[in-house]
Amino acid sequence: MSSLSAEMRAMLDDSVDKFLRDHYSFDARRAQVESASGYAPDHWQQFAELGWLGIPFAEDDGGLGGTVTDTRGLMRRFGRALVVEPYLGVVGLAGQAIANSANAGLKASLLPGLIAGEVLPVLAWEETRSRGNPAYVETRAQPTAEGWQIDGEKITVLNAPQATHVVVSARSAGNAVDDYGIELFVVAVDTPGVTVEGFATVDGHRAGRVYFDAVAVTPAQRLNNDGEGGVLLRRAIDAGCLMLAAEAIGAMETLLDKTIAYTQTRKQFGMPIAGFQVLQHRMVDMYIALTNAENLFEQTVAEHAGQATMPAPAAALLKAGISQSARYIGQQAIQLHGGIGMTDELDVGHYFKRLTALSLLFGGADTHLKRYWRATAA
Amino acid sequence: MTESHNPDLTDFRRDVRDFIERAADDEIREAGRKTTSFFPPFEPTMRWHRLLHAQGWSAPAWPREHGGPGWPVAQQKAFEEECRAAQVPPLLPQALSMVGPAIMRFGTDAQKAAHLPGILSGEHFWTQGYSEPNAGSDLASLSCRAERRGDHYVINGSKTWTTYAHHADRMFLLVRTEAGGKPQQGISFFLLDDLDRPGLTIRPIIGLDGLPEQCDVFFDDVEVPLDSCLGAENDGWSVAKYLLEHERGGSSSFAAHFRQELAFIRRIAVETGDGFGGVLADDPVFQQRFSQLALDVAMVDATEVKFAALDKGSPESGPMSSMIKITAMETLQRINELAIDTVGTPTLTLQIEALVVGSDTPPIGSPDTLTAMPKYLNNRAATIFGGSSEIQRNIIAKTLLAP
Repeated sequence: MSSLSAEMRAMLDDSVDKFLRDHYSFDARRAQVESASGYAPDHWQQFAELGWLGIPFAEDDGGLGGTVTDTRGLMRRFGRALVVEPYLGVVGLAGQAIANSANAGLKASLLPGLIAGEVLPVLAWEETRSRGNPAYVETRAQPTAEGWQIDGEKITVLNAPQATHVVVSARSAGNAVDDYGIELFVVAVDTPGVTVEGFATVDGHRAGRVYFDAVAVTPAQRLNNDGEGGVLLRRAIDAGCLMLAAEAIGAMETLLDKTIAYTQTRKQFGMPIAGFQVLQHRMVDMYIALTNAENLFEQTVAEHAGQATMPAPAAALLKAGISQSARYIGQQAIQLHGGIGMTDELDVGHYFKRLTALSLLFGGADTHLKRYWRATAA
Repeated sequence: MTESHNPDLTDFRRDVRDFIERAADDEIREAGRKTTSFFPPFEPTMRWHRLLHAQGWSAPAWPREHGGPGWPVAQQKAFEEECRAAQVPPLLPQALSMVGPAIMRFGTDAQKAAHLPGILSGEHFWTQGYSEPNAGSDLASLSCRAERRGDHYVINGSKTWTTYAHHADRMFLLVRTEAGGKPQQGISFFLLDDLDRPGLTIRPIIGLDGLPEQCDVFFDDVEVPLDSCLGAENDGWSVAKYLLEHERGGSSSFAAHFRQELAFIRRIAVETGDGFGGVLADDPVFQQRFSQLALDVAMVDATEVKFAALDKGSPESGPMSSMIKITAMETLQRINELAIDTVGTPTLTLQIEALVVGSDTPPIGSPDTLTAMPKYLNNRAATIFGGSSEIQRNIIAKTLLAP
């Protein structure tokens, strides 16, 4: 595994900053959120042209030759601007599942299109009873003469209504909680038996439930070797957690900046409210929460950047820490803004809602603290 | 309240249940299930108010002389608990619990006769005009002004966070009738019995939950009669303070409401997987968070009962109402947070259409999970409105640390 050079990352960061400055005002974002597709397809094309969709993919696959950690500058900036394009779901979750696959044919047929912005695969892993544990899979993959038949239901599939393909986890063997027996298949969304029930989410993004009713798949559509899709899936979701953490840090730092600026301007009792000690301490606590989370993130990246998989304890603590700081900073930003923070008109509430979503996605703090215990208990 | 005045409430509770069973139609029950705020869906709630009035039960806390049932506190509480358990919408507080008691205390006979019957019956709905864009926590700095011109006042300025102003036909508001002196001086408490006046504009504000609950109200040379004052001119702050204490505590039964929310979470947890083949209700972390909240609600309950028996003019009444506001609202926010954590990612689905009473849009996923996120979002305001938690702590500190 290699990472991009510091120069290359700085160049990418600059290009993201410039794009967001030119095209991503809060009003422009609002127009996208309210549009039929929920994002701007021409933005997505520009992401492709600027090389952003290729950051965490090997040069052999048509990418820039980086890893997931190389998206951190971009994701942080996306967090600051509340970007709604399906980067986390497509390049992160589904993209990583495909990129790390043993199926060379599938990689060759999907990744160039993904990097070019033409193919948008999404990852369908969560189920009503899985609660952040990707190894919990009830969706069935029953053997047939040509391959398998998939039956089941997936919830909270990020970017499902925008997808061309679905990467779906299904169980061919074992019980619902077993690590072994999980298969990952790539299925085009227009395949007979696949139904996408799309919806908007409270944070201005899109997601969906995806139903599989006797969907026929062949070995050519399978990303993993026999029964070993669980490892690939976990790795893709942990990659998603890392990207999510960077986005959350960007959203939290912007929210803290906005809160400090507001309290310095807003006057009550004849003085800026930032002059009141109780609010000063609150903002210091927000700063401490942000800085600790950011430091944990940077350390986790530094220690595990070159590894194929992040160890479960480190991944679990990072996501739990990000979930907690996202909650605290989001809630206090609203509190310190007062009534105006409760309005749809001001951007502050939209940062709060995105942070609420990020705290819940891929398992919340309680789930990941439990995961830490299970991963470290002898 | 003493035990000797406390009748056996079993029969009463059964009467309440029977009445609700008989009188609350599907739309009213749907409105109750889809209540995601302190302010339930307007039309069905007002209809329920009028049905309760016909039974003599619209204002459980009102004294008999003004048309209340004259129930002791324990009976009021039992009534509230039965209503919550049956999931009918709570009645809107602005008229019944806020301006109503203020009119009883400070109103002239003419004002009582003009306003109290319509509040009791649900014929009139009042909105509260306190906050202004530059007067929130520092309410006394308000600048919306009323000047005497001939036989009327002329109001200029604006009010904000006027809940359900777009549904209201009446409004109580604070205006400045005299400049100079301390900020609290020169404020008058006005009762407007007609909002359909030239120069008065109402603009709904969309909230975090995507719903128009709050409003801005603009006054541009709005003429109102000289008898609009409740209490003496320039002495509106006394009325406002009295009313805020009613708003902050004691006027509604938070504990009954919160226990219902906890019951709702428990029901979901019993059906929600823990990700390892069991259910969330068996997870010790969930159990700990849940039981902690049950303890917090017990504290809210105990303090509310204590407060209800206090004379509202007594020195301990103000700080205790602030204490209830802090404890209850912070507890509610933690309950709402446990609810979204219990439901998990299905709470992220935006379902504004499905939340409308009478909607043809079916909920996505379990109907039980429809309200968790709107409640979490909406109730972030609970530690802001009616005096923020920071302001309430200042109020208590002033008494506690007085030399």
